[in-house]
Amino acid sequence: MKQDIEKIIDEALKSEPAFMLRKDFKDRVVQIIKKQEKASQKRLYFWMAIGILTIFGFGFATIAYFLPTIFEQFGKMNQSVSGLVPLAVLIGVLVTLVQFLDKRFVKNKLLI
Amino acid sequence: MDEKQLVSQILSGSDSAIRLLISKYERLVIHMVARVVSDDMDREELCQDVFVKVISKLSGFNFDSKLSTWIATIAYRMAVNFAKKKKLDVVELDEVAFKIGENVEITEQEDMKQFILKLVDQLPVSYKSVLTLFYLDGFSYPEIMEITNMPEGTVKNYIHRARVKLKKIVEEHAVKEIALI
Repeated sequence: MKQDIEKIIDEALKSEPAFMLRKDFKDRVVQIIKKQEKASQKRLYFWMAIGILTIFGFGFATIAYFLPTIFEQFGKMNQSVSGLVPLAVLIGVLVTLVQFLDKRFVKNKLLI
Repeated sequence: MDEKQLVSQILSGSDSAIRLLISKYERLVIHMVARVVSDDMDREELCQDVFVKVISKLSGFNFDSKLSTWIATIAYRMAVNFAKKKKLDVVELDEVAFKIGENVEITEQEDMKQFILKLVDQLPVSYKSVLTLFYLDGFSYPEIMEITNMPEGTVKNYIHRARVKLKKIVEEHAVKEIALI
């Protein structure tokens, strides 16, 4: 009799719970993961932007403090060499674009 | 697909790999959650939270243990935290006042199984978890130690004491009926 009880306790402990997950469970988990990824990417871009602005701000302030005449010289150079500012802006935009594409299509795939 | 391939595909952003991971390990998570939590809505939500956590922490998984052990560890911790939050884990085994009901009639083996499962539901969370990991998921003692962070003696003691307690109550309530089985 005691052996029977032992056996039934064993079987009861090994029996599967009746609870089942809903059919759309996997979809919901995937959806949540994707939302979290998007949010974390947005946060990353936000802090990248803040970082870039801070670096530029500090750089500008440092130059203005230690070399106040450089802006006058740059103004003269800009007058003599046409298209210098648009070229600098274009280089900046291209560097940012390369960084963005690298982050989006290359680095994310290598996070293994 | 082996564990490493599955993990690398999830980390590279594959939705189908996430679905495959859920299919592969949903029973493991359900076992732990369903034994600890009684409400179906809470169970569903907790299972969801477990998988979201598993996937979001997957980049930190370094294959020191089996993936199933690692997932069971997360499920165990989250289930225990849930129980603590809901104050389900405040008693020790000796303090549990098992609600058995009056005039319990166990006439068939199936009745007895259900009776035992009701008793299991009333065990403290740590006992239920260890029993689930051992009997339902088939983890070894070292794996249960890793999952629960309990010493081996405690794991063995929990299993032994829980079984003795269950057996004692079943014997008290099913002496007559057992002859029929």
